[in-house]
Amino acid sequence: MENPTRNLTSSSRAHAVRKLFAGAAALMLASCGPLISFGDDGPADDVFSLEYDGANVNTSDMATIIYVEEPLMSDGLGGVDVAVALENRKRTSLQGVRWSSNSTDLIRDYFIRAIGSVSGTRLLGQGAIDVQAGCRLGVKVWAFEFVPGVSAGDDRVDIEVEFILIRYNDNRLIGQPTFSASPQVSAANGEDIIDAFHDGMTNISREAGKWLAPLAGECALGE
Amino acid sequence: METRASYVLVGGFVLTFLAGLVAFAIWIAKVDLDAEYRDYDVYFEGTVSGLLKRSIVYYSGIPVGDVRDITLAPDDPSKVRVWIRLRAEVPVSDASIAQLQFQGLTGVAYIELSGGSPDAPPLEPHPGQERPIIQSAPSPILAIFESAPNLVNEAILAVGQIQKLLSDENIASVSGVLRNSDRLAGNLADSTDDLETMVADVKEILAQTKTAAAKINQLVENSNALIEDDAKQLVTEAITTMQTATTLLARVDGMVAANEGAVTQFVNTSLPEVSRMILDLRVTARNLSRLMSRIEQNPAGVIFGTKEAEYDLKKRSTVEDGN
Repeated sequence: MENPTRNLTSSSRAHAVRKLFAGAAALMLASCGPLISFGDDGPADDVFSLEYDGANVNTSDMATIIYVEEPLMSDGLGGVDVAVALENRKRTSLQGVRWSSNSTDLIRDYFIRAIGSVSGTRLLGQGAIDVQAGCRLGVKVWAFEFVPGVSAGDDRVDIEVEFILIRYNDNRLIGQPTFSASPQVSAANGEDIIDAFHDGMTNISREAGKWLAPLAGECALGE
Repeated sequence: METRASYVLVGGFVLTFLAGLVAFAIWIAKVDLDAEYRDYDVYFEGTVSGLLKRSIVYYSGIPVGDVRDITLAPDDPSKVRVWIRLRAEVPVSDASIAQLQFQGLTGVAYIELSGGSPDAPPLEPHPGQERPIIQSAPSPILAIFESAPNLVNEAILAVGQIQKLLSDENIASVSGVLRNSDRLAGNLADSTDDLETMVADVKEILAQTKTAAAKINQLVENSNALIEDDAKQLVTEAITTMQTATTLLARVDGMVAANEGAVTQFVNTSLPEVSRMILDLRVTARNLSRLMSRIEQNPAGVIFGTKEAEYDLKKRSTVEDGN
């Protein structure tokens, strides 16, 4: 027959050993702080959107549909960070400012609305992948960045976009223009920089819409 | 008593004599008082050596006129103008040709006319010309004389070539060929027995060939029999196979016809979607590949981010992350 007192003594000893291991584990985790960092809380970033401010003219033409592809971002311009082009080909991102979504999605949605309104053509994006379209519009973004100048008054935004219009029926290249804009930044803060991005996108969309309008007939379904 | 002359008789005799004399002169001169003539010019290229005034002009070998004058052409001294007079009935037209000919080897030249038709309109002078102009043709005899020097040169050259051909060396070679031919003929004559042997061999070969042909004929007959027996079964099986294939094709054709609309819709609508999907998949695959590369190179950086400088708008310079 076993001794109850002895059993009690061994149980309390095991409990003490567990506490000791738990304390050692906590100490080890605390010592890992310099090795594993989950980020500095710091001040919150300002989050901005890229939206077309003009009137959304929805065409009734169902015969001409152009599918806008996801833009291909050059030089790591994609993501939520606002790219900054420095001297000597240095690149970085803007501190405390970021886009509300991946810049590729923002640019694509902006062009769908803006170019569609200017050209009077029905442009469809990701949500309409199963809709039969006459052409696809490839978008290559060569520049989409903030370029700080020597002083705050010299700051500007560079945007350069190449469009590639291809007809599905025969895979014929209909056009491949490149448009660019470099609007000045009125003041060195996040709001004005984003406003400059909007101005540049508006200019490029206007030029692209003028280019696309006479070519839309090439993309009519059944052509 | 003085004899009284009969002046009437004398005068009549004199007049008759004179008339006879004139008729005789005309007959001697062969003057044809009723004849009419027409004058023409003929321009010859080059010399008319041997042609003189009064030279005869022939038409088809008949004398029909003569040469009235020979001068240089007024506007081209390289040509000779010959003025001829022809009887009016000679048919001269644009197609008439005048050619300088020579009688034998004496060198007496004359003009031979040819061509022309009685139905053709007569040749008339052009404005500014004294007489109509008959076309001329070069004389073949003159052409021979002109080319005679060349013929002589060619003949001399040919004689030289013949002399080379008949050189002593070539003659010796021909003699050797003749000797060899003679020897060959002798050998053929000597080998008559061998020829007979050869003919006998050929006969034997032909006999063997005949036997072989008979065997081949028998083989063909056997093959025909084989084909007739076995091929029938083979053809029957082939027909069955073709019938089965035809049935299968009919079913496939019906199936395609039944689904033609769906196939057409797939080609027209779904293929572009597939194309777009493939493009998106390619973009996605590229992004995943890029992510995997980053994970392989720096897993912690992918999860927790890399340390990089950011641009501070207030300081207008880059600052290290976290500062």
